[in-house]
Amino acid sequence: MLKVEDLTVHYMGRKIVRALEGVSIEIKKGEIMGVVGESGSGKTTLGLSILKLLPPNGRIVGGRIYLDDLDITGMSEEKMREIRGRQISMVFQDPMTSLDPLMSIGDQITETIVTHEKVSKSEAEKKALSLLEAVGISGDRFKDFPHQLSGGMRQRVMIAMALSLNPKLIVADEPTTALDVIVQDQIMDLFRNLRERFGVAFMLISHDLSLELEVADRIAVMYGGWLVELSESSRIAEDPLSPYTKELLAAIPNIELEDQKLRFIPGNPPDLSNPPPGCRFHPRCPNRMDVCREKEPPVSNIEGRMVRCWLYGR
Amino acid sequence: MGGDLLLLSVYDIVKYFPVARSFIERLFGEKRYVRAVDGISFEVEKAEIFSLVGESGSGKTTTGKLILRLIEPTSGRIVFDGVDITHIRGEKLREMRKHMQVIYQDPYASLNPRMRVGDAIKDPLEIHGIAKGEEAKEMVLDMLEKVGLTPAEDFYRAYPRSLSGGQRQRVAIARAMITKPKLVVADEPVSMIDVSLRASILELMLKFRDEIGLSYLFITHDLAVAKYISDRIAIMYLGKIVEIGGKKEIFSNPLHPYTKALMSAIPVPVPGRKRERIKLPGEIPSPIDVPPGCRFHPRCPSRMDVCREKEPALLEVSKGHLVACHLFT
Repeated sequence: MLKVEDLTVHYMGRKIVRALEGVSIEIKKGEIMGVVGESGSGKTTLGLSILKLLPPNGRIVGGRIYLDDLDITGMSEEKMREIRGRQISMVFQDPMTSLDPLMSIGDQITETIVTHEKVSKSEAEKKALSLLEAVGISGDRFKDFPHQLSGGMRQRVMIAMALSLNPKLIVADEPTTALDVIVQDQIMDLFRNLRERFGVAFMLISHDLSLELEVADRIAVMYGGWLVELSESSRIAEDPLSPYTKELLAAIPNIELEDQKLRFIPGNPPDLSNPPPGCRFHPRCPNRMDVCREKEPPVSNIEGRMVRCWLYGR
Repeated sequence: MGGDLLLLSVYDIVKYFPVARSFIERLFGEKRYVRAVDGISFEVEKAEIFSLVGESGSGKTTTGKLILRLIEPTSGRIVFDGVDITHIRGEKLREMRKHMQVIYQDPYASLNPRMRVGDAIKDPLEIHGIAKGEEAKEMVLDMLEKVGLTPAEDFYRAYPRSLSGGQRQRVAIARAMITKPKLVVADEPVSMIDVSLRASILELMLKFRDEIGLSYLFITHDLAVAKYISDRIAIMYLGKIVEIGGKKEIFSNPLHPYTKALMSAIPVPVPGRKRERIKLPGEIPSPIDVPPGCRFHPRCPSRMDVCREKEPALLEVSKGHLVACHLFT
């Protein structure tokens, strides 16, 4: 359904920030694709690129984005507006920045529907009401304003809004990072439920690999603007290929383990205005070889799993 | 607990913030309060890591601020190293601060961007008259080495903007440790740190505990991090402690329905895991409208009639393991 091919995005400025380089990813209908990475990994840039919502200094300098075989890479903003909402929509970390504080939540959803679809206001209201109920907000809160809702409820409203034009894909960028774990759990249940009910796919962007492992069907692991590994969640957890994925797994505290010894990855994430030569992870990699310092690793396919690391390259 | 082992005792501490309202409401209504901390007691031993774990609105950060004496308690008592510090002021408060330091969540906000790293760490030495000039500089360089910011001379001259989040948090730790405090209040110190670096910060904190024997009041929303670092843990909900115990007891035998629900909601890195989830309805209510009786009762899966009416006391059910729940009274 969504196909990203060899996507490269730079942020222009005094120094060029190579935020995303050669990233390829496909999302199937109704799939929950996890995108995991730390700060500066390029995960948010990937999400924004797909929606063509990059900031003014962000440029797609290479690669293609297809939506159902339609190339949207160079599409005009006018045409993109048709795609956004209807085909792909987005949920951000902080719902307060996306909600209008002066309009009731029901009216906001209704307005979105009326603006984009040829329906009467009362039909739109009816749909807004059913959307609110679909995300677990009772109809009697239709006239509530955003400030009257808790953080979790606001995020539910955002999800209802993202769903309002029946998109095929929702890009959710750290949707629960600002919420408490119990609420996070509720929202993840909601994603699973919506996927079943509406067949909508999710691109779930998060720094939290534990969360991705629980929720996502497949996981794309990003580091320093590169996609370093992509496979089914179970393979990522049980038999990760990339040394970065292995190290990241070893750094996650697991409340079910007794006397766990946590590891950390020495060093810092790369400066993407001046990335290290060769593999971007090599300065921190425990499996570093000479070639890693000099040449960028190729993308390898190991039994259907994607990995970008010299351990698997030739 | 032996008296000589005790570092901090908090007795029934309360902090209410008045809610600002319109003039008319003030004329006719009764006064309303945010009951941020609503009567909590606990003790921290020397060289102990004691964690306050709770969701947003639980009162954990306010508790930290009360102990640091950054805000005044509404009532209750705080005894630090044998001295009642609840209302001390001026010189006494300054002297106390030398022994009680703080590490905040956001290493981007907690450092002065115009101050060189070396000066930022040196500052407390000069404020507290511990050292100055060359001697202070030597101490700072030594501390930079200890927190792993080497070459120390380079970091001494650096400005915070040139450092990564992890490095900044190391500076914040160095600054907190330079006065050799007895207690450090660490408020979500790794929440903004990349996962791959968290363990390095936690280990650094553990190293200082072992070396100078200080205690931590570790404030976090993250039970997994609390499990990794703590000796004892208190779970907070809506301004109250609902359960306290040693790390082992809390995790192997959680008693309070809220603790159980919180634990079951934490993702474990296992794919498609179908755990026994305890699903709680809704979210933590506003601390302005605290439910009567047990404040957890509207969301509690085990609620009984008594829970609506009577607030449960925090009682010891086994040695060192306390819970505030009518299931155990």
